[in-house]
Amino acid sequence: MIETPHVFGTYENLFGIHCESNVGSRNDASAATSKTAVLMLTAGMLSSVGPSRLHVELAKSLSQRGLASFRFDLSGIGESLAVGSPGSSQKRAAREVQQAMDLLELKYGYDRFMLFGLCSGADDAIVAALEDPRIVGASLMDGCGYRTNRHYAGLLLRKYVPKLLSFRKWQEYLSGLLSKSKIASSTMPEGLDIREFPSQEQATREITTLIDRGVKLRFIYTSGVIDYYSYEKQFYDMFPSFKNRAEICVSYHPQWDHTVMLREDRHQLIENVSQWFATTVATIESKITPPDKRDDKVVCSGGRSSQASELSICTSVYQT
Amino acid sequence: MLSCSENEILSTEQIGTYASYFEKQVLKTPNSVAIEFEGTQWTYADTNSQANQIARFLLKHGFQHEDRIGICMDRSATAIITMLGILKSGCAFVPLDPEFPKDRLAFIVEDASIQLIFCDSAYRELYDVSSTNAPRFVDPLDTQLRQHETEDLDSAIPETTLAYVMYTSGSTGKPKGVQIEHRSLTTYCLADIELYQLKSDDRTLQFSTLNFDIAIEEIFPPLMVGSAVVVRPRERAEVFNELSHLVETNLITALHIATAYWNEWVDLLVASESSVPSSLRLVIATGEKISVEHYRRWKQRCNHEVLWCNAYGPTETTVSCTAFVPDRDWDALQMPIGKPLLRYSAHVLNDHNKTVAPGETGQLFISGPALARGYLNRPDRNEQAFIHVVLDGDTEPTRLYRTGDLARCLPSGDIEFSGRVDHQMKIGSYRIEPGEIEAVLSQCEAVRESLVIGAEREGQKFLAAYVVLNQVNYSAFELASYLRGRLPVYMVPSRYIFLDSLPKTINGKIDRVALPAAETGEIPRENSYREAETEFERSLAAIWSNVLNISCVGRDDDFFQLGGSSLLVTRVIAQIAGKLDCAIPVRDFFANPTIASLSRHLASISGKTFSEINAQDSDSLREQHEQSLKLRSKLPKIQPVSIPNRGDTLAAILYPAVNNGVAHQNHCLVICNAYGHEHTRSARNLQQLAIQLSQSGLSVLRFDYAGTGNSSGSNDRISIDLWRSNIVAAVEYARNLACHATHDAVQKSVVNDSSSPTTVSVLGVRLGASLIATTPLINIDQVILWDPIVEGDRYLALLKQYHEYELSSLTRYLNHRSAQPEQLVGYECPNAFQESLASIHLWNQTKIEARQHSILSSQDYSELGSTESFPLLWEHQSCTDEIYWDKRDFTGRAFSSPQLSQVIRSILTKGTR
Repeated sequence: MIETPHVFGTYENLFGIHCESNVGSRNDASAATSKTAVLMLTAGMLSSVGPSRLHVELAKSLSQRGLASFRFDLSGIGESLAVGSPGSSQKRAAREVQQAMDLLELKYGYDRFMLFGLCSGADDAIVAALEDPRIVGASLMDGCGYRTNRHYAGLLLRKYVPKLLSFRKWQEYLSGLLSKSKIASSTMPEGLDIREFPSQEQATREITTLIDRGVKLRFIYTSGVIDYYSYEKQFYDMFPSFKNRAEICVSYHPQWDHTVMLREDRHQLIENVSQWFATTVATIESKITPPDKRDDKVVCSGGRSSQASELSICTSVYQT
Repeated sequence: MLSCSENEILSTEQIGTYASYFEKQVLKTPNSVAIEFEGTQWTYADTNSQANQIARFLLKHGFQHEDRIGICMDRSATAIITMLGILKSGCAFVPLDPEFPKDRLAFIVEDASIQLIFCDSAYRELYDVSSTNAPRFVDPLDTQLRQHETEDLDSAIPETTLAYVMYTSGSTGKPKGVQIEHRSLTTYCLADIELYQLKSDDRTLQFSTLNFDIAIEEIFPPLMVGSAVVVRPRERAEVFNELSHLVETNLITALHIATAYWNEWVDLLVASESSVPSSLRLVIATGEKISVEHYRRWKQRCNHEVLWCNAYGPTETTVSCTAFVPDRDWDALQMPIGKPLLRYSAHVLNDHNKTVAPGETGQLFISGPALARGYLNRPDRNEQAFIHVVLDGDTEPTRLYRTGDLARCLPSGDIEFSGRVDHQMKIGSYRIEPGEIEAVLSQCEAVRESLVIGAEREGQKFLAAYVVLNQVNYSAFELASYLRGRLPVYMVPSRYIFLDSLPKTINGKIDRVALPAAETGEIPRENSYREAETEFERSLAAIWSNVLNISCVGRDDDFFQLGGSSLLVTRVIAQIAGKLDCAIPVRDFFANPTIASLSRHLASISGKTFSEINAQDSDSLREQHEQSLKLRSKLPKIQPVSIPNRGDTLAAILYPAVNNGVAHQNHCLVICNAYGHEHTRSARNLQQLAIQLSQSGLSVLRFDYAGTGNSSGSNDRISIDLWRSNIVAAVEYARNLACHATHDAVQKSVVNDSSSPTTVSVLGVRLGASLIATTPLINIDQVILWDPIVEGDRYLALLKQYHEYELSSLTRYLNHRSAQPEQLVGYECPNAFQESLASIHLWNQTKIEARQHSILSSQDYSELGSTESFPLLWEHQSCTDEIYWDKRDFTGRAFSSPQLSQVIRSILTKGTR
């Protein structure tokens, strides 16, 4: 596995690491000429390493499956420097994803990209995919969610009842009450950051735009977002119009936490995600006409000129 | 001559030491409150016991009578107790104002031969600890001090023993130390008690900084009569009239106040149409000439009986030597400075040292037992200022202090101040010798000639400098920066007038009348400084000013470079939400760290329209691009680096010095990370530190150990021995880098000497610190250990406890989880690695051989007692930053450590050879 760090971007302020694919490990016909790479977006305020080295291990797994990847830090996070960028944080993230893609296109010749985003990375991935047609798929972990009636019952049963029955929780609560005022911390409190979910209607429109464009989307939810997602089929209760869309895959893993702290959970996630990426990329690339035979040009939603592609097949192997 | 016969007789008596008076008072009122500070009270018995412990500590460590001991502390009960302890030991305290520039502090430490400083940990970085003559530092809160006996000392101190040395402005360019003996201090205190009728039920506010005379009168006389000294709290009250609030809430009865501050207070009372707080019975204004107009306003706001006094006195006469107490009907154009205090005498003499006739102006001289011993190490100045004169009617000469003030005697016997003999001035009650500022200016290569004057505009006094340059373009900002590094802030002129030459009279003296008006001078501002332009930017700047406690924030200033931290970001965001009704994610702030960029960002995301800004406008986009380029130019050109070691490739980031050719470019710092979640918590803080250090001219190398971060390496073979090897490889890389930097500098003629030494420093955090200390590193110049892990088994137990909590607490998971072994809190931790962690016993295994080694500790780390085992030879600095390594609720939180970062910057930038 060969990894190459890069400093890039309009202001030479962004940092990322390219991980080459181990081409020999892919057995599909297009592997040797693969023009697709996976981009791992910044998760919350964590660096490109990801929570508990998730991105590093995912890069290794992808490489072993014949896929290149690039993990990088958005400006002001990890090793990337802040230079002042106006606009919503998601638009800025989208611009920086484009700069990463420009680098990879220039240096390595990739022209298609799949995104992996956890938490805010998932939110950013949707916006980036809307902005740039080079993005053909995304795996979104604990992305946007909207509470349904059934969610509230699930929340009560799965989250609050076990806590109410836990002696330890009561102990903690009472000791917390007694000690609360004693700590004035200079650490940064958790949960202060703001997730930027679009309205449910806007989310429906955006996802529709993407899948109509042929973008493959895999949604993964964990118990880490139980406050807004708490049962297996909630995705389709949130977005009933996507029930029969083959471009979308959804899975729910109530045993996992938001940052997959345990090695066994992480390995399971990495296995699932990297296999989905590998299969999806192989399917996409097998359907694409070789570049020298393409001649139609279309303009996509992001305004960028791109080669037309027919992407209508989705592997629903992992759909739950 | 203005001296009463009683004074003459008393001046020959034995007066006694301050310590003896205080101890007598302790016996009388052991349970009365002596000091009150932020809600805590110290009785006389408590105060005396703790002061005795300090005295015994000093004597045990070999300090003797008259040895000078520095005090570099904020106002606090501990500071007062420390002063008392030093006095009781027979040593003399020397207040060191932490606001002073480092050069000035260094001069005082050297001039006074200070070997030990009681120093708040935050201020240690003000001192150069690398020199062989560096003083020792003692944290006044150090528990070791409390191990000494609390009984009074037996040994007697002669009353002529030195009590303290107070440094004041000196016309030669260096401050001069005024030596005050116990006898003088006691004389003053007795006079103060007599005139102001101090009583045991008084509560005196301790408001002044400790290096100011007023602090002496606030602290020492009240403690001789059994009354309480109430120390101003550190937290500033957010009220319109803070002083009234302090007096009212603390039931203050006695207030000593600098005249300039008293004027402001009177103005506030008038503006708020409020009265003088009813608890006050005594107010002493001192330091400058009283404005009669303010006195009249004061009387109008005062609805009850208050003893109001105008006190006068140079430091050389121990605080005050005369005082004027106006009677109820007093009114005149000028307020006199009154009559001499008990045991003091005042004399108005002509040029031949003969007493002038009443009403005639002469120079004011003071005599009596309260006079200073003289200036420390300044025999020439002593000869000029302290003279022996046979006064009219006397046969024996009297020792007099020449004040330099012109005065005349009024028919009432009061003295009236008539100006200065020289150009000495008082601004904000600080005594300033313009000659000292001119002397410092003359040391600046760009300056050929200069003159500094005091001026006034709209009632505000300020300093102005007239400067003739050596045909070099030098800005007011550069001059002010130059002076700020060498003089206290109050001595740095706020206006600069550049002239081709200073106007001269036919006698060749500077023609002050012909000088252009001072207020036309240039205000020192950074060339690139730009004020906030729009109303919205001004609102943002106001929020930053408030959070950062900085008076002036420009639109291009970087929040983090101004001292902002992650914690402060949350405060700014909260204020933006509250005051400007804009909610933004934290990461948006990190990406937009200047007023200009944040303003544009908020405008572009806001549903509301900030009409001045249109982010889509092409001009605005261009400006935004230019701003980003400008911001980028101030940041280091980070370079990814790969370091091979034992078959692994270590991922590293190099932060080269931002400005090529600056002083420290051949100085490289290697940062060794903490492990696991502690590394994640500290990552951003260390990145910011790296940026700041690179802007200070150092190169910084951050790297990941094998099997961690972005480095290669198999998880199952990680070990602390492997990581020690990683450290050696990283240090070697840094050494080569620093050597190349020196070589390049020689090539570019930045450095003349090819043998210019290179410096490699190493900073370790937590496990990184312990690894450094137990690695046989060679050729290391500086080692800094930050909250090192001292006992590995305790650390491992803590990690296991956190891990178990995460699995079973129902906070992270919906149900209790079981987990595969050999992992802790999200990170691989093979059994062999756990065993090697548990085997760490830091101080038994230390292998450091560095020129300088320091240990830094956060507040919570110190409180846990981890610092008690620190080796004595290590420089230890404790800061008030809180990190909470040992609290499980904080395992997922990034932290900010602005103070620790500041200390690290200070150690590193001073440590460069």
